[in-house]
Amino acid sequence: MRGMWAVCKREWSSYFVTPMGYVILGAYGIITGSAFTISFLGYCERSQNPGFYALPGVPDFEETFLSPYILFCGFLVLFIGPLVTMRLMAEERRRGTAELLLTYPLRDRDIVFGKYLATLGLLLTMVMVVAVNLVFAARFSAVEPAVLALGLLSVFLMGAAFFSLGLFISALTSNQMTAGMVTFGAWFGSHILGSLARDLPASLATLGDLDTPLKRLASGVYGLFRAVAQEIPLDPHAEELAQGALAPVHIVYYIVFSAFFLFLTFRVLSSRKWRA
Amino acid sequence: MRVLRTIAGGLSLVALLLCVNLILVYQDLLAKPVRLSFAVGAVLGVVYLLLALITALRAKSDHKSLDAIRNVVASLLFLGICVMTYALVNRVFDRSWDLTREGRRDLDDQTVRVLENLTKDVEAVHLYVSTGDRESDLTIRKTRQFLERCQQYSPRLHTAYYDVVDNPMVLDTYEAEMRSSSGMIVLRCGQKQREIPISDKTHRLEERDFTNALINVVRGSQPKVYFLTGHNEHRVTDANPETGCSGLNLWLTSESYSVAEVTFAPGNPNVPADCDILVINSPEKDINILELDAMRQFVERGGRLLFMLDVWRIPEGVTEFLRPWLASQYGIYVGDDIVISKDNASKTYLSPDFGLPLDADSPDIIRGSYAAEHPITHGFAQNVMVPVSRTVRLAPSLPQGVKGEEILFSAPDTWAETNLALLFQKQQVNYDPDEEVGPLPLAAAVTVDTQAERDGRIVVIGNSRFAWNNLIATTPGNINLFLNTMAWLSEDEDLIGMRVTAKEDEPIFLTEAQQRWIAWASILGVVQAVALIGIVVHLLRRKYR
Repeated sequence: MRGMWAVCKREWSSYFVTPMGYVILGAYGIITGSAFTISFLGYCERSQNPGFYALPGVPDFEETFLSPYILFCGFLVLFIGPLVTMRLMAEERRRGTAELLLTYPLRDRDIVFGKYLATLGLLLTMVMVVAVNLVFAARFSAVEPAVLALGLLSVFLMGAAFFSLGLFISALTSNQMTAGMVTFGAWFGSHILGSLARDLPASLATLGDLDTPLKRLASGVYGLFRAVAQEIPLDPHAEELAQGALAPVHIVYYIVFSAFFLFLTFRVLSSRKWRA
Repeated sequence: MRVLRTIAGGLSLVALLLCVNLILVYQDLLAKPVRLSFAVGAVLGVVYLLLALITALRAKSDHKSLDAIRNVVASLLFLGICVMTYALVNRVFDRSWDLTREGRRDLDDQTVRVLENLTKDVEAVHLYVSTGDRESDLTIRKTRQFLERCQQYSPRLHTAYYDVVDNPMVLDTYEAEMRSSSGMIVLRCGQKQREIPISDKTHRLEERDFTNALINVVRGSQPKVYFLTGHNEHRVTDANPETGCSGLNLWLTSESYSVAEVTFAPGNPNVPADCDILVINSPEKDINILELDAMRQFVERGGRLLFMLDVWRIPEGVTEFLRPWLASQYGIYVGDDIVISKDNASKTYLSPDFGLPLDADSPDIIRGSYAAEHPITHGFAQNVMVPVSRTVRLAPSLPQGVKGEEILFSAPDTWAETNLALLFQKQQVNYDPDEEVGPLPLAAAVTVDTQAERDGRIVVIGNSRFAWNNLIATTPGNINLFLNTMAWLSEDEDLIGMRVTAKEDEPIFLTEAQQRWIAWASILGVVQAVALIGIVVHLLRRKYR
């Protein structure tokens, strides 16, 4: 545990003794703050004159402003995430300190968890930036506590899952740019795949001319592919939570996702030892 | 062996890549070329894996290979565990708990009352299309939870749920048409049927829509409401989003009233025989003696009247009829005054009808109290905005056969400004000691004994703006007050209650200063705080280096 905290402290301080942490928080703050200002003031305008905007009444605060804003903040974490994770392991290898790190009396889990916890700390700071904006909103309107709490939890879990993916990819390469781009590409690709899978038909229409066993096999594979492709993207799982509905399946998804990629990171680290 | 393995692996990758490209070209997952390339890629892939395994097993002394295989197997096993865990949770705990106010709250007053008073069996059928995506599942689940909650209040409500893809004949059974991709509810009671599409925008069944449809299918008859015209009244056909009254028409129709307009024939005014309620909505011209007599006869045969009277000025020298008639016949005194709230006394605000500008930034909002015992306002707990109102009070001693109650009052910090001449000429209001202070009565309801089967009823409200489109859209209390009044006048006390949408959000009014503050705090404030912390950390590090 001590080793883990030592790695975590070192990593955490590296964010804030260099401009990196401040730049990331500042950029995140500006973008989320601008989005908050525009969407909140837009909501106020629509609520005062719903008829002018062809709305039947005062629009729902949570559905038209709060949930979409929180989801946007989570989405933004997925964009900024590669900047946070790309240097975690890749930089160690580039600078040649990776071997040094591996020779310390530290276990693999100390290194992996230490670095991961440091990124979670940064993520928590980003979530607090969002929470500050929502405090401003709460001053003027009754904010639904369930949407607020579960929405921020969804941002945190989504970010945590994404950072585990980024940590794994960073461990695979010594080039930060490669790590960042591959992380971003992996997320973006899964997002596009998920969107396309939702548009796919529930069953294949062209199975009619196939033999029955082959038809069953093809149908099964197609169904499995469609189901998996819809489940993989990170952001759709946050939607229900951001609406104030406690859904254990989504929380388990994020935990399982993070656990899997942390496990893979362990495997990469241990393989480096016997490859050295 | 290694060369063979490499070739197999390379060709497998090429074949699978070709397969992906062919899918895009043919737009068909099962086109022959696609199947062929996939089959070739899959077979070569299996060959590659087998050769890799054989190579690894042969080189037993090569720890790297064995460790690599161990890593792959361990990773696949762990992936399997993760997938199984997720699949198990998905299967066992595939439900969510809606922790929002909407999800936790009980049904509305009115919905409960209607359900508890059901005397006929009602069938509520939920028709939906399950697409498998989370949004559609959420909508289906919320709708089912809502119907199950309704069932708790009445054993006469029977529910059924059908996926129209699995049960295509159900649409024919109920002669229904799916007008919304989010699903619909069919309510059926005897021969009457109503369909409630679930909004594609909100993906939620609005409780108000359900309750209104329920009322419609169980209600025996449709009360007929006539809006009087011919005296420059506010029309229910006026769809102006600010000052129109078309919203009243929509609301009344949704609560199963039949709405129409009527103009009295000159010289021979008669209230239509099928009229249940006659509404006089802010006439700008006085109502003449013959018309008032027609109304009196209407009340004597059990008819119901609703007057919504804005502040007006009868020209000098002209004899007024309506107000003296209300006073002498029914003991209802409509004041020649304006109720002013002390907060807004320094600002001018008058009806645009008088040609004076309305200060839109400072509405005269009277949030008052309600008669706790009267059916219209019993249990009323919402704010009502009645800008520019006049007093309506009852005589201490009412005429014989008339019983009544004042039902709506202004806040205590108001007074009844009677110097309207000063107000119109100089746009000033000054409190004089002889002017009455709040709480002031703004509405009264009376019942009149008749020879008919039922009594006559009259409600007079010293304001019509509360029922304008912009206010009923933004202030739920306003439309509830109006509809409760109509419900009492039509003797459908089941309909009296709080009608709210699933969410009761109030408009947010921000001053310019507040808007600037929000913009500064959320954008620059946060960034500067972060920068400040960075500078402090940097200085501290330099100091202690």
